[in-house]
Amino acid sequence: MNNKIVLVDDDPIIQYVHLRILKKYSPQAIMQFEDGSAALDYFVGKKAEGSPHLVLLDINMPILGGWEFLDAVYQQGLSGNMSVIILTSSVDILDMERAKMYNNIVNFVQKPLTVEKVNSIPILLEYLEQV
Amino acid sequence: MNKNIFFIQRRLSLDVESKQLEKIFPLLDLAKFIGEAPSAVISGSGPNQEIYDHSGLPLPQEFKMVLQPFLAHTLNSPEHICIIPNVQKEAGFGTGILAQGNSTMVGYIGCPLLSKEGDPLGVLSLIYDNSFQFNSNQERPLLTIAAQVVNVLEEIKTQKEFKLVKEELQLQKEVNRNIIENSKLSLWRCNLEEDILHFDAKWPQILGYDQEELGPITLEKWESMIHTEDLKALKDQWNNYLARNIDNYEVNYRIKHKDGSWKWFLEAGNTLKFNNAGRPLQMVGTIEDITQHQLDYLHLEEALQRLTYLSRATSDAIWDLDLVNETLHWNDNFFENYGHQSEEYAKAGLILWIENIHPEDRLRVENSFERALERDSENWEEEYRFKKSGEEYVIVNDKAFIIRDANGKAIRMVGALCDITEKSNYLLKAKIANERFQRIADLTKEVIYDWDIINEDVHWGSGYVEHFGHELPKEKVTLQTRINHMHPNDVQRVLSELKDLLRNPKENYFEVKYRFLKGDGTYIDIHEKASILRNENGGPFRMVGSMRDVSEANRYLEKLRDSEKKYNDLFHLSPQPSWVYDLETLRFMDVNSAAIACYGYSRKEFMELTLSDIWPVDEIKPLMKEINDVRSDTERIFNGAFKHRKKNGVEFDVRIHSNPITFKERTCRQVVAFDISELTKHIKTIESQNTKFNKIAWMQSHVLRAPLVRMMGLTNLLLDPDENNEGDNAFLLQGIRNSSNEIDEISREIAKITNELKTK
Repeated sequence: MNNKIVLVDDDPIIQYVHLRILKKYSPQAIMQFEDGSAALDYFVGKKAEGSPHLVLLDINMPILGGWEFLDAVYQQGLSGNMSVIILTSSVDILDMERAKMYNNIVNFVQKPLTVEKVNSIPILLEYLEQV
Repeated sequence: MNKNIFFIQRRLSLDVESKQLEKIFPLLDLAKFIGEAPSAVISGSGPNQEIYDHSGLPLPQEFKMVLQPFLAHTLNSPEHICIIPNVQKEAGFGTGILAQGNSTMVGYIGCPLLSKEGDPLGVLSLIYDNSFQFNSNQERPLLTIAAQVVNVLEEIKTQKEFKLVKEELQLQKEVNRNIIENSKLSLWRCNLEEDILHFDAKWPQILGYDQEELGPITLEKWESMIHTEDLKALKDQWNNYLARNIDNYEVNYRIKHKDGSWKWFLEAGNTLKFNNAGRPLQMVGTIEDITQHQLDYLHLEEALQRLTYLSRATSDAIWDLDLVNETLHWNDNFFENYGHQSEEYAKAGLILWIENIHPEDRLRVENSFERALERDSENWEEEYRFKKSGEEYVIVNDKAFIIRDANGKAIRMVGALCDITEKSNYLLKAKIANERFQRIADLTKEVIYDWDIINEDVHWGSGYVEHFGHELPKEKVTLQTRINHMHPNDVQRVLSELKDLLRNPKENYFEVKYRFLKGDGTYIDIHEKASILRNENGGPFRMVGSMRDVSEANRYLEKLRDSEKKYNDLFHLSPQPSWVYDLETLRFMDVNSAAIACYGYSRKEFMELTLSDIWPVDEIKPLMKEINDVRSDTERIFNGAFKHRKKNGVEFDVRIHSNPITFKERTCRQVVAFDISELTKHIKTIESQNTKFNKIAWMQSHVLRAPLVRMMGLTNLLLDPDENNEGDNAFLLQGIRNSSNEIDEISREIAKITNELKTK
């Protein structure tokens, strides 16, 4: 099974910037969703079945925000093979505190993603190498 | 002849004196002559075995010894004359003293003297100093003489016996005379043919007469002296005896003394001589003066009667214990009261009595009973439980009098058994009540007293010592003693109140307060209450009361008064509106000045309002809910916010604090109201500002940072030397421009919100 990296962010500029950074490490396709709802559909569908996923998740998104997405994942028992890195522009301490409540959140990183930031996140590097 | 007087045993023996033998001596001479013997002696078979010769002299001792075997030999064969012509030649005597030639006795003839019954009386002996030839012609005359001697001896014996009988008779007469003289017996004799009564000297003496005054009297005269009530019975007895209907004549009757008093006689008689028809002719008898005995008997009867009446009159069970025969008799009350069977008690009264004593009391009772008998005590008393015929036990008091003989030995006990169960229960109840009273008196802080007004004495409860520190008075406690313990300034008032009260027969309750001097010299405040007991004339004779040390209470009241004043001041001077309302009617009971100022109602107006008058109509419902809660838990302290309405209709926010209070003996609540209108306004402003601040903070964090982050990402790409951005530069720069425009827009919006805050 291949590890998969999923980028969830409603901002197309940010999606573009982050994709360019990540492609430096791995030329393979990285899945992108513009809000939590689309991402959830992916996980609910059988495509994601069996593979470990690392989700780089924005919080503030239309339709289904990051927190709401995570709540749905937990409710539907989809968190088993999923690790999450919160990738947000928020510097709100409340968001940071809330992140501690979800077991599968492995890191809380502020946007924008840079090479330095990517290098400081071992799990992300690990996934990038294996994708 | 009296059968009791008998002759000496007619054991025949010759035990005679020489004097008595005078008649025999001529016969001895005659025998000597017939037998041609030089000597003739007579020997007796009595204890002295005297031997006399024909001249009446007793034989010397040594000759008696010589003669002894011949006498014995003769009496061995009393049917024959013993003839020994030569003793030395006679077999059996040859070796004797006579055979040795030391004696003058050579020949011997012995005639046994036999009574008519054949008993040997003695021996008539002829003694020869030479051997002799006995002629058979001599035997008959000798036997005749011997027979005559026996006759004389028999005569002598008879005479002697007669003399003895005479002496015996004399003695018996003497004894009888003494018996009669020393007893109260008097003798009488009656010749029925002559109709004359003879009596001894004692008879007139008993009746107070001299013998000369009262000689033999006719039966008629005798009858005239007898008590008329007794005469018929006497005559019946007499006639019955004469008619031989009864065997014994015995009667008692009263006979008149010379001084007119009556003497009791017990008379008995027997017939001395009957006529041919078998009817008594002569009678003899005795009279016994039984006056004392009769009086004693009457007294005893009377006493017994009295005892019977007494035992009927009392409900006590009377008992009579004969300690000699160990018999116990109970009166009927015992069997009625305790249900026991008289038949059983008649058999083993003492044992049953002991068995019916409660086992736990038995040993004690038995011990005390025995101790009482052993000691000199005249009385015995015990209380114990006694079983009735059922299984029920009753408590009895048993009291007895001990009767002792001359040596002090208890011989009889007479007692009374009284059921005191009810009394005991009453006493027990009284004891319990008394103990209870004592315990209360000990426990209470009040000092109880009991004043005997008549005898001027006070009995104090134990608290007198404990609470007042005074020693219990050894002598009488007069009113003066009590005055001495009062504060001088209170004495006159207290005494005046007391005297007024004692004089007023309708008033029986006394209550007074004064200062009392304790044993340690300090004064305490006393609150005294007492009941007065009066006699039927209304005169007081006793006063029972209690004295309570109220110093502490007074101090507490003082403090309370101070505290109340302070509290009152605090209430009225408080800057916070405050009021008291009746929890039942919700009417205002009191309001302070701040409330008057705040609500706009005067004090008078407030007093006519209820709580709901200061509540807006739509706030009444929550108010009543709170009121009901408080009513169900009156001690509850309440805190809460409400809207109130002033007299001018303006509504404002108040925070209410209420707590329970008893005011004018009503269950009330005291309320303090804090006007929180301003405070509410301030809070609302702050809350609104907070919302805006939160919005700004959120925008800062999420909205404002979004384009900023984008810009940062785009610029990172532009500046990254590893990136080939040639074809994308316009796209990247356009993105930066759009993001900076967005930041501008957002910052303006934030400024707008900030400006709103500033203007408020």
